[in-house]
Amino acid sequence: MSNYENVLPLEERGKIRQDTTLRILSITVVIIGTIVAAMYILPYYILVIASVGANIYMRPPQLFPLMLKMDAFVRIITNPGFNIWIINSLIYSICITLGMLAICAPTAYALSRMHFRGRTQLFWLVISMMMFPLVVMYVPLYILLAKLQLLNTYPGVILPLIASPYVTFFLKQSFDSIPKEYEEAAFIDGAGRLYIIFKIFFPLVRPAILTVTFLQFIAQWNNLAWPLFAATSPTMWNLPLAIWNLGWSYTRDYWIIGAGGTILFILPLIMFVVASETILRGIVVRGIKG
Amino acid sequence: MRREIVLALTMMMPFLILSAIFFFAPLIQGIIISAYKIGLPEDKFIGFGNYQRMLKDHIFTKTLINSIVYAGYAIAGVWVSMFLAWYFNSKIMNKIVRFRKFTLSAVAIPFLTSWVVLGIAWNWVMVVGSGTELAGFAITGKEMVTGGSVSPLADPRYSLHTCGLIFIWAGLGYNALILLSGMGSIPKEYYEAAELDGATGFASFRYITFPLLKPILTFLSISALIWPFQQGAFEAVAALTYGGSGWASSNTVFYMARQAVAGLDFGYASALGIVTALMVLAISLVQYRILYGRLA
Repeated sequence: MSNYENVLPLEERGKIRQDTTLRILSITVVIIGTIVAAMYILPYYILVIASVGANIYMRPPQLFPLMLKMDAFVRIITNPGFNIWIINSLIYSICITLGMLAICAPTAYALSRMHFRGRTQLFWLVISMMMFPLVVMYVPLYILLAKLQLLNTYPGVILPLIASPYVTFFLKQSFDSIPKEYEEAAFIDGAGRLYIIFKIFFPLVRPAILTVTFLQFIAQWNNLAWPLFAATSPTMWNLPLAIWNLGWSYTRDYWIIGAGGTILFILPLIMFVVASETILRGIVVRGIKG
Repeated sequence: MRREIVLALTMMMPFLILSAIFFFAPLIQGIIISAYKIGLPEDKFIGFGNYQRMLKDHIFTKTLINSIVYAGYAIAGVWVSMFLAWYFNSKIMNKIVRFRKFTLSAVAIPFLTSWVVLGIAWNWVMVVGSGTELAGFAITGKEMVTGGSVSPLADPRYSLHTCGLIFIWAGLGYNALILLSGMGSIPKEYYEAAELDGATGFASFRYITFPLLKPILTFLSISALIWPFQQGAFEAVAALTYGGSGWASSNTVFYMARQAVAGLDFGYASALGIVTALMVLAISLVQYRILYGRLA
């Protein structure tokens, strides 16, 4: 390197020195990024290796599995209990997400596009609902569900979460950002209201709807607190609640817990890989985790 | 016009009915229940008794202080995430696109993971990192001998602060993504003008990026302030430490849930919930005032 510098003209030498600085800076940036990424991958890595047979309780701990043993996954897949919990999780997340879309989207449309008296007040009602943390409502909701004989039923777990102010607010904001001219043009051409909603409006808001679908599905798939209150019998548990209960029980099978945890986070991970753009944008627009 | 309001109300009817049954009715019922001592042979009306009990309840005080400590950690996390966002927004990082996307995804992934998974995973990180005695306990099944090193999540002296640090870790991606989008919307001309004046690197961050990000930082800080009183924090505490050891790391919401689910003291739990809700409501009102100017 120094040989070059002596031969080359002055300005070229300066350029090389600048290049070297840039290279050192780039390497530093990459090293920092690698350390940060490692900090985030480490817990997941330990979870996964424990689920395929590494004994992390050994001293010194095994940080690589000596051989891949998928027995824990086989036991989970073939265990009727776990099957029920996985199916429950799917039922809860799919039904709650679809229910939210079916109920909150029309509300958001009416709040965004229709003109009637009391619209502002209704919007403030939605905002005031957002100011209460939902978790403190779980105790009276639990009593209400018990009175309605809905405790430990699918409707009892699904219905209370459907009327979500967060989803309504998010969709209303997205609907507001779509120019009214498109619909007005169609209206002047003589299109009916339903035609306008389904053929013109709906395709325009598809990104927002997709964002809500992904984020709410993941949030409900991960939901621990609400099933803890509403689903008291083990046959109604969802996967997070079941694994949580296994984790704090007196006889723990660490292998099974690791495998269950892996299954629990693998689905959101797949969804993130498939639709990372949608999900990242969704996180940015509003944390609608509830 | 008349048809319009009928149509609008029809569209909103399911939402209004469901929120009346499952939001406003329980809200009112919660207020009513908080004035009772629920139990056998019958519920007893005690007025403000539950609230008076709260004043003398040192566990409530403890959990409230814990919640405030968590809020402090969450706000510190917002500041850490600002530097992370600055790092992601740097020129060099923007040149290595694939590396940037990978790192950003790694940082964002805890936001999409259940706290149950994070709880198990972090407990095991602690097991790997320390806790030889815990390991011996798990393998041999013999009684644990005190005096050795245990997992910081299980140690009453450290569990609160360990949880706080894990909360920073988990929230970093979410905060950084929001700040990144805010940084993206700052016009490039500002930086070019500053560069002409000789401000580069940290100086341009200090005098351009930071002042322009202040509204977002305020929003994130207030969100961080209410975070310990919400569902996410409840799940985090429940999954990481189960509030332990003792009540060392539990927040108010976790204490409320324990009173209801384990203690079956629904009156007291409702009172705890209402006090929590009022605190969050007060902070939210301040937030809306700051964000949208005067409150409508």
